[in-house]
Amino acid sequence: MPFVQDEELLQDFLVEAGELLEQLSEQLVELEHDAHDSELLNAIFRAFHTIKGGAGFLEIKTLVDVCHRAEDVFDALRQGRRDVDAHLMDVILRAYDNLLEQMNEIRGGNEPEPVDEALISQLEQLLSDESPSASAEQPEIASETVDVVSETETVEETVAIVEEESIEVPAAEPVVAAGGNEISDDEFEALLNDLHGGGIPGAVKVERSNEAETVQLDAPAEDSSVSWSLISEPEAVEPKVVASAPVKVREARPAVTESASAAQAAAAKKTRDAGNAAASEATVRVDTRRLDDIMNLVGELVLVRNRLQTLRTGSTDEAIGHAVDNLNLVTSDLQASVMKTRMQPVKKIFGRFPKVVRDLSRSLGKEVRLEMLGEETDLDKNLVEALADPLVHLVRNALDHGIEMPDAREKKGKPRCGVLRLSAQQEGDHILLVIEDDGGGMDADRLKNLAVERGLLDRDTADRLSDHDAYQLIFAAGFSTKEQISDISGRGVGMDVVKTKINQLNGRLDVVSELGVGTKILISLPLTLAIMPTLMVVVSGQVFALPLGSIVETTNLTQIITVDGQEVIMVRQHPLPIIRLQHWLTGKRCDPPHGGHVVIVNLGTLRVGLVVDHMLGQEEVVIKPLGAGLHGLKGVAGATITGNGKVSLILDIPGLVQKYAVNM
Amino acid sequence: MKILIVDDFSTMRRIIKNLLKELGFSNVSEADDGNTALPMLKSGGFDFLITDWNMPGMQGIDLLRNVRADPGIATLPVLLVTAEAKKDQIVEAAQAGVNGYIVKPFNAATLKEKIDKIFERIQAS
Repeated sequence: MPFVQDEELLQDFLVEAGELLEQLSEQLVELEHDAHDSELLNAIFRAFHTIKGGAGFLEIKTLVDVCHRAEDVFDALRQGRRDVDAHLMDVILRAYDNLLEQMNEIRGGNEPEPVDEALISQLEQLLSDESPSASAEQPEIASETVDVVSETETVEETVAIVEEESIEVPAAEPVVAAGGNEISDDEFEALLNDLHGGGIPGAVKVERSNEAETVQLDAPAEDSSVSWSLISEPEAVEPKVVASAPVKVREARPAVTESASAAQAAAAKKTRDAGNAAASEATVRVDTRRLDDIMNLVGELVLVRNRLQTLRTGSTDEAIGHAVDNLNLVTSDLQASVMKTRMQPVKKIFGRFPKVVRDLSRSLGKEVRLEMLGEETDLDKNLVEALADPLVHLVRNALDHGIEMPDAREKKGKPRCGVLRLSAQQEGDHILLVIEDDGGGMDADRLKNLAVERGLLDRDTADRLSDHDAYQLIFAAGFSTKEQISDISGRGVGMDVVKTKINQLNGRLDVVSELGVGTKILISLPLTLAIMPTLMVVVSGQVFALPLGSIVETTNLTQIITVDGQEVIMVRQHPLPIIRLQHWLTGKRCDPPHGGHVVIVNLGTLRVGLVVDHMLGQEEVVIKPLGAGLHGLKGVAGATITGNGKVSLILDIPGLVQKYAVNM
Repeated sequence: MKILIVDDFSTMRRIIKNLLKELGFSNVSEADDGNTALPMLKSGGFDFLITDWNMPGMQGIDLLRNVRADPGIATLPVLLVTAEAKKDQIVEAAQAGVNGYIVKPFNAATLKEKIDKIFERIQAS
């Protein structure tokens, strides 16, 4: 990077410009639906403009180059000199992608690659083929029109100076000299001299005559490049005293009303924004690290509360009891409030999908309509970030494998345009995300055959699988149903990565499908990662915490049967493989004491029973990372301090099962 | 000298703030568009306004007009930050009563020059 002396400044820029780009992706897709929304065009123009401005200071030339061209294109669009068409959108979206790439490069500490000349020239091309007819129809910008001097009837600046009764001129309409539309410093100085004489802008001039007919005008100065012709219509202006701001008087024939209507729009907007102003002042940008710190402290507080609650059961002092109850209440409220500060709407992830779907359906030749529900559902910030990639993958997958080609759909009697529905909703302490398509659905038998072919299952096991279980096979590593690997979703990093990721987040993944009707993928996630509801269990006298998220039910330990060397128990006539936690812990295989319990956990496609000695009950725990010495230990997610003040380990059930399965 | 910087892009405000600090101006406040800036200006105490042109909400040029229209702050020196020195735009700004303009990107020296020029003119009058 040439000179970014201030690393912090660069990071700020990346964050802020990144947000703008995120909005841009939505705005650009919106633009395809409403190409004439002038507010939208303005917003897009401004985004490119702003990024360019920042990049200019940071001397990131490649960013400036692309933004500058894109900005020019949108300037032409918002002035009506050009129309939005498919080609333009393609080029602009390519430019957008380029910006994203550049930002990523910079974020990674690299200098972005020089911009593809082809992209630059395509962008420039967009401007050069502005249709001449289009520009002729449009009203010229006022300052470019030279001879509009007559018929001055209205004063344009009514908005800015409504309360001012008088309008004092210098009312000068510039006649821009031919050639050179940039102003030089000297010209500007001359211009100021012209407008204010020796005075300063905004200063009150009281050289007034009382006759209404006379208007004091500054004499036009003869300047080599800028000449001024004054327009004024004394009858139109009611000069009294005081020149507040220098005001231009402009004719208001329909041809030039652009500015007038713009002013009205601005006025309307102003009143609207006045309401927003208060709201925007009410927000503060906070470093997420601070929020993490606060969350951490709240976590500690929860632990202290748990400890106090435990102590209190041994105390008979009523006053202490009340105080602890109070503390309990306040802590819960505080915990909820702090969690709220970390919440972000799912829209943050969903926002990128209109563009993803658009790009993908174009390149696949499919017609897809995207529906999004519950975008305002809040989710912990960390979850939002961690979910982004898996969701993109699932959406790509649904488009690639799920929704059929338009012709094929028609043959089946479906509408040509497929529907992809993304939805998010809160269900108790969980968030449910659903990705649903109305495509071909999955064929359970084909999935089973493939699993056997790929050596993931033997024929017997495969045949015994229920359809629902067969669908879950798509999450198995090394499973891709499309024979031909496309560059869209079949890139090896498959559904198994998605599953792993969701499991890491203590989430659950489920697939429901119906052949010919469509597929539904359900993701259920905890609201937050920092504080976790767990089931406390005792194994060999030690207390462990099992994340409640993956627990399905608990049952008493009944007869253990051994099938093919694997211990199982029968639960409602179905065999359930079990893992003896004691064996995992001590390496000794001994029978659990009478009245042992089984905790049944769900691991995506697999159900396993964990044998424990006792169950203590539910407790909310705060996850503390393990020390460096224990870091990376399979089967242990972290540690926590329990209500009785002891440290206990939080088990990582997927990791544990994996580890145990190897040993078996 | 108490200065108000108005820009919707906080990175830009920070850049300008840094440049001002380099020039020895440390009494700097920020606002993110004209709508937030105007009440701040009206409540008084500012000696200089540096505003971006292109902002959502209230644009820089409208902020300028509002400043000039308010007797209490009508003489406040205003420096307009623009992306390019397009003649029609600058003329429009001059008519609205701007004291100076500066084209992005700029460095501390240019900023100083612009500020000095504005005060020269004010002192001369």
